[in-house]
Amino acid sequence: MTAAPVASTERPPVRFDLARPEGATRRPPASGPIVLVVPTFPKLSETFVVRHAVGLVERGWDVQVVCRSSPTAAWRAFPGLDATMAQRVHVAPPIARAEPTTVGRALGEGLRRPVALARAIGRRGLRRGVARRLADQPIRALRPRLIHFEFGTLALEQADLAAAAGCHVITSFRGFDLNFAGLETEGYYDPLWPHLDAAHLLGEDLWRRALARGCPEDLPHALIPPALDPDSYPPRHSSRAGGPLRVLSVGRLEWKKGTEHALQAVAMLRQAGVDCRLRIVGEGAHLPAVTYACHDLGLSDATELLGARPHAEVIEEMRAADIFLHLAVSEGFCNAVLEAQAVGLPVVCSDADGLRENVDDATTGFVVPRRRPERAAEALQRLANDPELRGRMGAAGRARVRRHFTLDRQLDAFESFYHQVLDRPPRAGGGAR
Amino acid sequence: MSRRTERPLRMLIVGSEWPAPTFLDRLFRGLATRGIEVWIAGRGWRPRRRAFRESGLRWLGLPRLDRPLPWRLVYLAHHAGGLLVGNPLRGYELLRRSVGPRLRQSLRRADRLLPYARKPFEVFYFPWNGGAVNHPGLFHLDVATVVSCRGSQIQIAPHDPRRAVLRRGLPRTFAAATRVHCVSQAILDEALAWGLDPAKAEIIRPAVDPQLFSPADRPLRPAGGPFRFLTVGSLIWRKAFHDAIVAIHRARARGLDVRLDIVGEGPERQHLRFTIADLGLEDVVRLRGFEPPTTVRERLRAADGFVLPSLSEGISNAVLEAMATGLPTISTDCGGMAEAITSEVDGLLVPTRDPDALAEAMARVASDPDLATGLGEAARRRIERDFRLDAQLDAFARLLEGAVADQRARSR
Repeated sequence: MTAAPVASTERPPVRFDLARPEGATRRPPASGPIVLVVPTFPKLSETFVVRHAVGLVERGWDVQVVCRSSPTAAWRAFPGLDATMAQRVHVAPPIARAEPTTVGRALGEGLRRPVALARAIGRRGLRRGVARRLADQPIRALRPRLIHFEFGTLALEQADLAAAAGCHVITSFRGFDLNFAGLETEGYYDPLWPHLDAAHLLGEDLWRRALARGCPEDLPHALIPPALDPDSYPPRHSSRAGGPLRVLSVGRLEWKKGTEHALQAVAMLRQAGVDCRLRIVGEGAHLPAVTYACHDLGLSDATELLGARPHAEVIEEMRAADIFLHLAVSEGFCNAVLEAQAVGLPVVCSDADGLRENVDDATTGFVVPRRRPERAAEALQRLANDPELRGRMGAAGRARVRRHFTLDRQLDAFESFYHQVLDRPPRAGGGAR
Repeated sequence: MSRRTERPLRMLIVGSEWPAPTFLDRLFRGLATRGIEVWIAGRGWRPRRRAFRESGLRWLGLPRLDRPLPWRLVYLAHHAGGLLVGNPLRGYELLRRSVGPRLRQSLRRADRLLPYARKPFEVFYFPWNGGAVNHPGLFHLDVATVVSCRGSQIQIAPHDPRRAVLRRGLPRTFAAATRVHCVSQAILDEALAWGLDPAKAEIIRPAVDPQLFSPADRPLRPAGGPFRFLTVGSLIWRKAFHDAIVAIHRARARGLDVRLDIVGEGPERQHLRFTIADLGLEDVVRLRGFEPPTTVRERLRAADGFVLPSLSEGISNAVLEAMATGLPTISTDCGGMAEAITSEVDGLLVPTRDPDALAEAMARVASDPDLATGLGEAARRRIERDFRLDAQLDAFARLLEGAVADQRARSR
């Protein structure tokens, strides 16, 4: 490290200020790569990881990706990706059984790093200790400057690595990590916290949830919301006169997404005399509950279940709709809601998790309490009766996305975040690489 | 009837899992005590449990579907051989029916026909519509067939786009069955839409043994303590237990100390766990997991009230058990629940998908001891009058005998 910060008596701030302009001016560090750890790379439903990695590489960072699987079919869905990333992706499949090669690798590891291996075996037992050590090997072999786990659950599994890596370790915590993983286990993330140099969260709400899950209050962290490229979202078709109101919902059919609440809200809206149609994009295990709710609420003729659709078609659906409805019960941040705003669609959403930070209440849409379909119905009715308000809110949504949620801004923020983390000494001093 | 003196009616139960859910188990054992020879068709070996041996039930072992192909072929050949030796013409006919151009399909058809055809059963009983739809071959064996319509397979599954097989099969099985049993008028009405001929249909509502569920001999609620609601059922979306959790939250917001125990296990656990954490109810709402019937009886006796937030029910057995225990019971008005509870008399009915109404009803029961006691006592009387196990078993035995008589008349 060339410019180690002067040790100050004052404690550094817990939350990084990412508005500092250094992202644009400072060069990426020259020695040692940033290693991103993900379960699968590339993955269509985790496009944000791909954009994150590619964006950093384009800005001159040495990014390496370690994943458990890298399906060929998925690469095809990202044209041009191999040019930047093919040499930077390392597959480390999980070790399930003692195959001859595994045994050989284990012996090799035992010769090279006997102490570390013995320690891992002592902590987890022979089989799991060896398996863990071997699974972590590809990451250590890259001699990382900084390890960034894209999911909290993943970091927890590799807490040993985090402890012994001897470099900076940071983790992103997403909705699933904090809302569901290990909810029944007290202190689920406790083995992980002491080894983290910093955490990345999508927003304020998730930080509060992290605290509730035992995250130390003084853990340095950065809030960086998801982002998109606004130029690839053409504005919505201008509202046609007449015809029923077109309401759109997009999301996997799971209880979390509150599709049944959306149906209830639409049923109430229709009872209030507003002629409207609901189109639902997405599929999932909750489909029987959704179809039953359609039948039960008398909406079979007023709803259309479109199933999963390619991204381009989803955007077209958004462009042809009048209102975007998303009454999730639990939601990390929700890219679909962001995209709806980018297209200029007014949004009615619940206040679940990050949605409050995603939608500007009463400006780009309405944020109503979760599990309160009647409140959503009121908001829908206001929008239904006021095409001008819909137009205003849509325009405000487009402006909001361009101001706060662009990929460029996000990358600036990540660069600044990485620089600031690297400026501090790593927490994990344990040198056993 | 003279037939009974000749030999007992021989019935095969098709398409029931084993161990069967409590209410079916009660029905099967009860029928066995009514002089009916009850055979259960199940995959694998006869259960070793002493309880099974002593229950008077008999086991017809079927080849397990997860066995390797050669094993299944040997097993089927054994059945086919037995059929051919016993009655060559009939055996040939059955084999011809199950063999088709595609191996897998033929195997499946043979699996679901040959093993059932060897013993001279007089009636096949399908406790679930799905079981009947899966065994079309059994409707053409000159044996009486009785199908039960219980709830979700009539109310929910046919609306699921992925359940086309069931949707197509319902009208066929209704047309072919000798008699159709419905657990409530509401279910019967819905089954009409899937082609049920009302002349074949008979309503026999579920029942409980009032001796087994007795009211606790204590005042309903210890003075000043919390009011403890109980609910029992699989943690599946159609039970909508999250609505009950939200209702607890809203009732507590009014200053009432109401609590909830949820007994049961299932895929919705994560949803419920999240809802509890999200509303900060960790100390108030407990997920107890699965518990055996004896423990559930203890829980019922220890509870102050019962709540069922379901979206769809035939008639909930859990509610009947709670009523038999003399608990003030709140249920959503879905399926046949209005046939078990007369609202404001022996329980309270609220609309589905409406946690506010549920909270309101909970608050009324929890804050008005006279109402709670009155509803509980009336519920117990209602069970003793209308939902007695022995009456249900008699009706079921009559239904089966009637079906056999119909079939005889038909084949003559």
